[in-house]
Amino acid sequence: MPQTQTVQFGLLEYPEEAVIEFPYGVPAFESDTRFLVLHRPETAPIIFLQSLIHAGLCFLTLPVLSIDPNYRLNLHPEYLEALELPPDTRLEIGGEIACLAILTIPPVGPLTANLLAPVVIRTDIRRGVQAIQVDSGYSHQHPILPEPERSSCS
Amino acid sequence: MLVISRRSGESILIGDEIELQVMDISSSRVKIGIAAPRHLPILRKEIKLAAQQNQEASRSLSEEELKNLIRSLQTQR
Repeated sequence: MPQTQTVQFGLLEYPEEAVIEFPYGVPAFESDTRFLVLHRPETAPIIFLQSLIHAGLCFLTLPVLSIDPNYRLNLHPEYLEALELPPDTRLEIGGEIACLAILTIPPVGPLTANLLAPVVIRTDIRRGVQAIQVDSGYSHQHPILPEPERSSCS
Repeated sequence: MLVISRRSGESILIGDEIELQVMDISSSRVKIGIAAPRHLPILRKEIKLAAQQNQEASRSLSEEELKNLIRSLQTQR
Protein backbone atom coordinates (compact mmCIF):
# COMPACT_ATOMS: atom_id res chain seq x y z
CA MET A 1 0.00 0.00 0.00
CA PRO A 2 1.28 3.52 -0.70
CA GLN A 3 2.30 5.66 2.27
CA THR A 4 2.37 9.37 2.90
CA GLN A 5 3.83 11.50 5.66
CA THR A 6 1.27 13.82 7.26
CA VAL A 7 1.39 16.36 10.05
CA GLN A 8 -2.02 15.43 11.46
CA PHE A 9 -1.72 11.62 11.39
CA GLY A 10 2.00 10.92 11.08
CA LEU A 11 2.89 8.23 8.55
CA LEU A 12 -0.27 7.12 6.82
CA GLU A 13 -0.88 4.01 4.73
CA TYR A 14 -3.73 4.30 2.31
CA PRO A 15 -5.39 2.28 -0.41
CA GLU A 16 -5.15 3.89 -3.86
CA GLU A 17 -8.99 3.85 -3.99
CA ALA A 18 -9.08 6.45 -1.19
CA VAL A 19 -7.39 9.08 -3.36
CA ILE A 20 -9.59 11.79 -4.86
CA GLU A 21 -8.26 13.86 -7.76
CA PHE A 22 -9.02 17.57 -7.65
CA PRO A 23 -8.07 18.71 -11.16
CA TYR A 24 -7.98 22.40 -10.07
CA GLY A 25 -6.92 21.93 -6.46
CA VAL A 26 -9.01 24.14 -4.17
CA PRO A 27 -8.98 27.96 -3.97
CA ALA A 28 -5.75 29.18 -2.29
CA PHE A 29 -4.26 25.67 -2.69
CA GLU A 30 -4.41 25.21 -6.43
CA SER A 31 -1.46 22.82 -6.55
CA ASP A 32 -3.06 20.40 -4.09
CA THR A 33 -4.66 18.14 -6.67
CA ARG A 34 -4.76 14.88 -4.71
CA PHE A 35 -6.53 14.40 -1.39
CA LEU A 36 -7.33 11.49 0.86
CA VAL A 37 -10.79 11.30 2.41
CA LEU A 38 -10.39 9.89 5.91
CA HIS A 39 -12.96 9.01 8.50
CA ARG A 40 -12.10 7.22 11.67
CA PRO A 41 -14.42 5.99 14.41
CA GLU A 42 -12.48 7.89 17.09
CA THR A 43 -12.86 11.23 15.33
CA ALA A 44 -16.44 10.80 14.04
CA PRO A 45 -18.37 12.71 12.78
CA ILE A 46 -15.43 14.63 11.28
CA ILE A 47 -14.22 13.67 7.82
CA PHE A 48 -10.65 14.72 7.06
CA LEU A 49 -9.42 15.86 3.67
CA GLN A 50 -5.68 15.25 3.78
CA SER A 51 -3.58 16.64 0.94
CA LEU A 52 -1.16 14.19 -0.66
CA ILE A 53 0.87 17.12 -1.98
CA HIS A 54 1.48 19.02 1.27
CA ALA A 55 1.84 16.99 4.46
CA GLY A 56 0.62 19.92 6.55
CA LEU A 57 -2.62 20.57 4.69
CA CYS A 58 -5.58 18.77 6.20
CA PHE A 59 -9.11 20.15 6.14
CA LEU A 60 -11.76 19.14 8.63
CA THR A 61 -15.18 18.66 7.08
CA LEU A 62 -18.69 17.46 7.81
CA PRO A 63 -21.25 16.05 5.41
CA VAL A 64 -23.25 19.04 4.19
CA LEU A 65 -26.56 17.25 4.80
CA SER A 66 -25.69 16.79 8.48
CA ILE A 67 -25.54 20.58 8.75
CA ASP A 68 -28.49 21.40 6.51
CA PRO A 69 -30.73 18.44 5.53
CA ASN A 70 -32.35 20.59 2.83
CA TYR A 71 -29.07 21.65 1.22
CA ARG A 72 -29.29 21.94 -2.57
CA LEU A 73 -26.53 21.76 -5.15
CA ASN A 74 -26.72 23.92 -8.22
CA LEU A 75 -23.34 23.63 -9.90
CA HIS A 76 -21.98 25.97 -12.54
CA PRO A 77 -21.20 24.11 -15.80
CA GLU A 78 -17.43 24.54 -15.31
CA TYR A 79 -17.60 22.51 -12.08
CA LEU A 80 -19.78 19.88 -13.73
CA GLU A 81 -17.21 19.60 -16.48
CA ALA A 82 -14.45 19.04 -13.91
CA LEU A 83 -16.58 16.17 -12.60
CA GLU A 84 -17.00 14.88 -16.16
CA LEU A 85 -20.74 15.55 -16.16
CA PRO A 86 -22.84 17.20 -18.89
CA PRO A 87 -23.43 20.95 -18.35
CA ASP A 88 -27.14 20.62 -17.60
CA THR A 89 -26.82 17.94 -14.89
CA ARG A 90 -28.95 18.43 -11.76
CA LEU A 91 -26.94 16.93 -8.93
CA GLU A 92 -28.55 15.24 -5.95
CA ILE A 93 -26.36 14.55 -2.94
CA GLY A 94 -26.15 10.86 -2.11
CA GLY A 95 -25.23 7.72 -3.99
CA GLU A 96 -22.14 8.56 -6.01
CA ILE A 97 -22.21 12.25 -5.13
CA ALA A 98 -20.66 13.15 -1.79
CA CYS A 99 -20.80 16.70 -0.53
CA LEU A 100 -18.64 17.99 2.33
CA ALA A 101 -18.48 21.37 4.04
CA ILE A 102 -15.03 22.58 5.13
CA LEU A 103 -14.94 23.67 8.77
CA THR A 104 -13.17 26.70 10.12
CA ILE A 105 -12.18 26.54 13.76
CA PRO A 106 -10.94 30.01 14.67
CA PRO A 107 -8.85 30.46 17.86
CA VAL A 108 -11.72 32.64 19.11
CA GLY A 109 -15.25 32.85 17.79
CA PRO A 110 -17.75 30.27 16.66
CA LEU A 111 -17.04 27.15 14.62
CA THR A 112 -18.31 27.67 11.08
CA ALA A 113 -18.86 25.60 7.96
CA ASN A 114 -18.39 26.82 4.41
CA LEU A 115 -21.75 26.16 2.78
CA LEU A 116 -21.05 28.65 -0.02
CA ALA A 117 -18.25 26.51 -1.42
CA PRO A 118 -18.84 22.82 -0.66
CA VAL A 119 -16.47 20.07 -1.72
CA VAL A 120 -18.34 17.89 -4.22
CA ILE A 121 -16.93 14.44 -4.93
CA ARG A 122 -17.92 11.87 -7.53
CA THR A 123 -17.00 8.71 -5.70
CA ASP A 124 -17.37 6.47 -8.77
CA ILE A 125 -14.55 8.19 -10.69
CA ARG A 126 -12.87 9.65 -7.54
CA ARG A 127 -12.89 13.23 -8.69
CA GLY A 128 -13.64 16.31 -6.68
CA VAL A 129 -14.07 20.06 -6.93
CA GLN A 130 -14.68 22.79 -4.44
CA ALA A 131 -17.69 24.35 -6.11
CA ILE A 132 -18.58 27.94 -5.31
CA GLN A 133 -22.36 28.19 -5.36
CA VAL A 134 -22.81 31.73 -6.63
CA ASP A 135 -26.29 33.22 -6.03
CA SER A 136 -27.16 30.35 -3.70
CA GLY A 137 -27.58 32.52 -0.62
CA TYR A 138 -25.43 30.07 1.40
CA SER A 139 -22.80 31.50 3.73
CA HIS A 140 -19.07 30.81 3.68
CA GLN A 141 -19.22 31.14 7.47
CA HIS A 142 -22.32 29.23 8.51
CA PRO A 143 -22.18 28.92 12.33
CA ILE A 144 -22.60 25.34 13.55
CA LEU A 145 -21.58 25.39 17.19
CA PRO A 146 -22.28 28.28 19.49
CA GLU A 147 -19.10 29.45 21.18
CA PRO A 148 -20.18 28.99 24.83
CA GLU A 149 -20.73 25.29 24.23
CA ARG A 150 -17.20 24.89 22.92
CA SER A 151 -15.45 26.77 25.69
CA SER A 152 -17.36 24.86 28.39
CA CYS A 153 -15.64 21.69 27.19
CA SER A 154 -12.09 22.89 27.72
CA MET B 1 -19.13 53.43 -3.35
CA LEU B 2 -19.52 55.28 -6.62
CA VAL B 3 -22.64 54.15 -8.47
CA ILE B 4 -23.02 54.74 -12.21
CA SER B 5 -25.85 53.63 -14.50
CA ARG B 6 -24.85 52.27 -17.91
CA ARG B 7 -26.70 50.75 -20.85
CA SER B 8 -25.61 47.74 -22.83
CA GLY B 9 -22.59 48.61 -24.96
CA GLU B 10 -21.51 51.54 -22.78
CA SER B 11 -18.22 51.67 -20.90
CA ILE B 12 -16.57 52.99 -17.79
CA LEU B 13 -12.91 53.98 -17.63
CA ILE B 14 -10.85 53.56 -14.47
CA GLY B 15 -7.64 55.55 -14.76
CA ASP B 16 -5.94 55.46 -18.14
CA GLU B 17 -5.58 51.72 -18.49
CA ILE B 18 -8.77 50.00 -17.38
CA GLU B 19 -12.01 49.82 -19.31
CA LEU B 20 -15.14 48.01 -18.19
CA GLN B 21 -17.77 47.52 -20.85
CA VAL B 22 -21.30 46.29 -20.29
CA MET B 23 -21.59 43.69 -23.04
CA ASP B 24 -25.03 42.29 -22.41
CA ILE B 25 -27.83 42.57 -19.87
CA SER B 26 -30.46 39.95 -19.10
CA SER B 27 -32.98 39.74 -16.28
CA SER B 28 -30.52 38.38 -13.71
CA ARG B 29 -27.07 38.75 -15.25
CA VAL B 30 -24.76 41.31 -16.77
CA LYS B 31 -21.92 40.31 -19.01
CA ILE B 32 -18.92 42.59 -18.47
CA GLY B 33 -15.91 42.94 -20.72
CA ILE B 34 -12.70 44.02 -19.01
CA ALA B 35 -9.66 45.51 -20.70
CA ALA B 36 -6.82 45.92 -18.24
CA PRO B 37 -3.02 45.55 -18.10
CA ARG B 38 -1.86 41.92 -17.85
CA HIS B 39 -0.23 42.36 -14.44
CA LEU B 40 -3.55 43.16 -12.73
CA PRO B 41 -5.22 40.02 -11.37
CA ILE B 42 -8.94 39.89 -12.16
CA LEU B 43 -10.92 37.56 -9.94
CA ARG B 44 -14.54 36.83 -9.24
CA LYS B 45 -15.01 38.03 -5.67
CA GLU B 46 -16.48 34.76 -4.42
CA ILE B 47 -13.31 32.90 -5.44
CA LYS B 48 -11.25 35.29 -3.33
CA LEU B 49 -13.70 34.70 -0.47
CA ALA B 50 -13.37 30.93 -0.82
CA ALA B 51 -9.56 31.24 -0.94
CA GLN B 52 -9.47 33.32 2.24
CA GLN B 53 -11.84 30.93 3.99
CA ASN B 54 -9.69 27.94 2.94
CA GLN B 55 -6.58 29.69 4.26
CA GLU B 56 -8.27 30.13 7.60
CA ALA B 57 -9.65 26.59 7.60
CA SER B 58 -6.18 25.14 6.92
CA ARG B 59 -4.89 26.16 10.36
CA SER B 60 -3.80 22.95 12.05
CA LEU B 61 -5.39 22.16 15.38
CA SER B 62 -3.71 21.03 18.55
CA GLU B 63 -4.71 17.61 19.82
CA GLU B 64 -6.59 19.29 22.65
CA GLU B 65 -8.55 21.50 20.27
CA LEU B 66 -9.44 18.52 18.10
CA LYS B 67 -10.61 16.50 21.10
CA ASN B 68 -12.80 19.35 22.34
CA LEU B 69 -14.24 19.84 18.91
CA ILE B 70 -15.18 16.18 18.50
CA ARG B 71 -16.67 16.05 21.97
CA SER B 72 -18.89 19.05 21.33
CA LEU B 73 -19.95 17.77 17.90
CA GLN B 74 -20.84 14.39 19.36
CA THR B 75 -22.86 15.81 22.25
CA GLN B 76 -24.70 18.11 19.86
CA ARG B 77 -25.79 15.40 17.48
